[in-house]
Amino acid sequence: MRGLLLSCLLVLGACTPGAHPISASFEAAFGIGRVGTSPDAFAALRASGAPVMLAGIEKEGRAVAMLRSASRGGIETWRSIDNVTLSLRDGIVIASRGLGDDLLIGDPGAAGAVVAAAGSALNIRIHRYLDGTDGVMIVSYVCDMAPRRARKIAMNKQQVDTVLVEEKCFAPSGGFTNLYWTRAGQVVQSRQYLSAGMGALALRLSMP
Amino acid sequence: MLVLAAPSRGQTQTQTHDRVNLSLYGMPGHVEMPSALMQPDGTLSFSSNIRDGVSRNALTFQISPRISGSFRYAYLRNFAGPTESLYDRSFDLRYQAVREGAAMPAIAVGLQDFGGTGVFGAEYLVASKRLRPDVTASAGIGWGRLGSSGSFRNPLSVIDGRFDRRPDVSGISDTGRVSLDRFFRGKAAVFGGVNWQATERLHLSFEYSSDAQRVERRTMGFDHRTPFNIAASYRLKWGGEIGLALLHGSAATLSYSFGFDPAQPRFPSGREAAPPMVVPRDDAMRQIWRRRAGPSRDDLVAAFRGQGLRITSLQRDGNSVTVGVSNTVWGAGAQAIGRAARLLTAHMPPDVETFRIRPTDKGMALAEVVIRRADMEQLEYAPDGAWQSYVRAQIGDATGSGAVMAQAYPGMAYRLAPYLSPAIFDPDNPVRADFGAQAAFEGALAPGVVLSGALRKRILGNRDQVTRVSNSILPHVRSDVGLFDRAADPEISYLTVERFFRPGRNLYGRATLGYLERMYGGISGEVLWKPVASRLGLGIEMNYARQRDFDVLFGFQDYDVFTGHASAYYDFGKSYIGQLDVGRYLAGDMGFTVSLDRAFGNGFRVGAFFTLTDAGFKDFGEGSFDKGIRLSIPVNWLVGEASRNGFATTIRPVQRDGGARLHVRNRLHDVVRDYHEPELGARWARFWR
Repeated sequence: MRGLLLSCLLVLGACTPGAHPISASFEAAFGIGRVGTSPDAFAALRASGAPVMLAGIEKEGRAVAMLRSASRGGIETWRSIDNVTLSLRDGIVIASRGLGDDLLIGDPGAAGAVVAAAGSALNIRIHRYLDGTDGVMIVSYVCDMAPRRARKIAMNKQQVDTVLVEEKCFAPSGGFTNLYWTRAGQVVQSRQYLSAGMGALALRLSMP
Repeated sequence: MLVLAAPSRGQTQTQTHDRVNLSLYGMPGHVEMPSALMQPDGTLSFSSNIRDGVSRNALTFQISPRISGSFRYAYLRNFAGPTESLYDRSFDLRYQAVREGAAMPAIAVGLQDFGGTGVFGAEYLVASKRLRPDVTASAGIGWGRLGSSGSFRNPLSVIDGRFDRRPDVSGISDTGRVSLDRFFRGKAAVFGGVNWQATERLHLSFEYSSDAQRVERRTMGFDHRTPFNIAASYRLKWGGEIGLALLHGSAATLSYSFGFDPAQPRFPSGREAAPPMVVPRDDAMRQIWRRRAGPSRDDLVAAFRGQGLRITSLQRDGNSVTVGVSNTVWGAGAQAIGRAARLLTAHMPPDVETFRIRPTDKGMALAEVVIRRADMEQLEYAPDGAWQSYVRAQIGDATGSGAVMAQAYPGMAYRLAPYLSPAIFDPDNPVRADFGAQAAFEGALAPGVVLSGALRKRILGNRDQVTRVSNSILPHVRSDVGLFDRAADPEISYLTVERFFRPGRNLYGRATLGYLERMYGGISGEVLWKPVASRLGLGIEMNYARQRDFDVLFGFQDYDVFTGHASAYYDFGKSYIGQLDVGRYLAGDMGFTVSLDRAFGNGFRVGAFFTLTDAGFKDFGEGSFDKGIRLSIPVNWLVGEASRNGFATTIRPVQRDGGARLHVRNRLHDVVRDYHEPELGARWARFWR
């Protein structure tokens, strides 16, 4: 994972996920609309010096550079070149779009505050997914949050001091463990569960 | 009010629903004997098996939690005589009367081959119980084929002596009729079976069969050594199963089956690109906007086009804006409306507070969805945003046309695509198909005026090798398909001018002139009444049709007919949609068609229909009356990409001339359905997708 992240950082944008492996002729034959993708807008964003985040799908072992395209009301939205987006509040993923099994909207409860404070808490998380027939499927998790010991992680070839917070979540249908590495209360690296279909994401801010 | 957030259906994290074994008949069971079990609701499964001289292929659908149905196509070599093989189409139906309880077994009653030639005809009452998580046992009593081995006097004869005698199938003209006078009659016999899920992938079945294989012994030389059957099946990694069975100690059978739940597509949220973000009015975007003279119409049009949407009308009244939007790619109407609303937040002046979005197709505004701009800003990331945005949107009829976007007309669209056109069940060659290229165009000349056509050129195929000639005594309105197949290449599949209009509130109209379909040309008119919020739709259609020349180019033959129907459409909820059509069919016969479809929220549809007309069973010929099943699979369901296209097929056991309808394109209910309740609301969660 780390190697992959690094190589992506070196060639920004080169590691776009193969989320759209469909050929143009296939699209034409079956009337598939290539809509909403705008590589130009991505390039403009990159030229404007937007912050960069590396995002990977854990089970697929690949990563992509995402650029912050909006930051409003405490919610940051990050966009990849093929227009997959992740929305984060206080470093916690609350929505994704374009991944096949997206998090329609997540309500992480107090997770963001607990992570920032590197505290301990019992937290309720509510995830909403599209259920396959375009209805909403709601999954509630009970999560145990606690700080782990301080860690040094490698960022941009530097060793950086971080505090690690762990979030263990349980639901009748299964659980997951999220990890957040914070520096001065800000999440700089994380592993966060997204959905049954996608599994967990690995995210890392790229330091300027 | 619709239930938008339905309680979670089997959460995707735990996809370990118990596997239900299918018998060689394709229904839940043991080797050949049925069980009382049901597959998970909605499961669609395909099974195929072959042994020396016999092959059975079935499409089975779990219609509801307690009702399952199956359509089977079987081949039996030399079954009807020394040189006469049988290609047989048949239907099964099973109802689970009692659900399995802690002590109570599940109990089901079933009809096997109730409307075909009766070759597999049987009725049964069966009880099944899970003895251990991995072991299921069944015991039952059968009639007909399932009452032929070890049989005894029908216990039902206590009620009435008529149960003692089971009338024979009288001949080909008798086929296809529901054989009410045979059900549960004649001798009965008991059967039983055990299923054991030996390992995660290996499954074993053992049964005592009450099928004596009488005809097979007599005409096919089948060797019935024992009433016991045994089978093993192995689940392949990706889900399908292969199996091997030994029937009656003499016949080895190889089988394959797979099943899936249409409610669980591979990409539940789709892989389409993320939507544009909502732009709040107090955002910096507004500053950018102020610096310019105002929003440019071209920018707006381009932004919509980038999302697969076409603006057909645009009008501002005070602090509200009315936008007609034609959706070219999104399967769910709500997704198109959501994307349009997001774009409007970025492109409308800050003083516009209300968006009136009118989903428009064929120049008709199909509904008006009123969305407050403030709700867009407030609910984009609200945990319950899907539900709240639905409740706050006002959805109603769209009256008046709004200011037409001059740029939108004329609009032309072309498409070159491959086509596959199968023709199945010809006894000379059960699978025929043509593959070729189709060039289609559709041009909106003015609002509501559409010129469209399609040209097909075969590349390869064998449909032109049909040699069977129709023996129908009715006018050959459909049964001459072989003559069309032989003569038509290339063909003009259709070429029409259509006029769509709104005659009034809740009313929709269509007039079509030209080559309406492959076999007919003429003129067609239709009016539909369908309030946006109503589950009920009512329509009337009148047509004058003339049969086209076999070469499917410009000429016509002599046969012409006035045909038309009054139709009622009703959404029963829980994904069931019914339709009743009453009227005059192509051969001039009068009658009605009953259809029932299960339309999954994601657009996947499975349905069945039958038509009874005054043409009568005898004149209809083989099959007695028109009936069939149909399947419709959206491209979006298959690959998770934005598309309004799909694959649809109708499977009829036999296509004859009675009860045949004209295939007019763009029937109004299909046009309006996606933007009307309950479909619009049922898929509203896509508003934010």
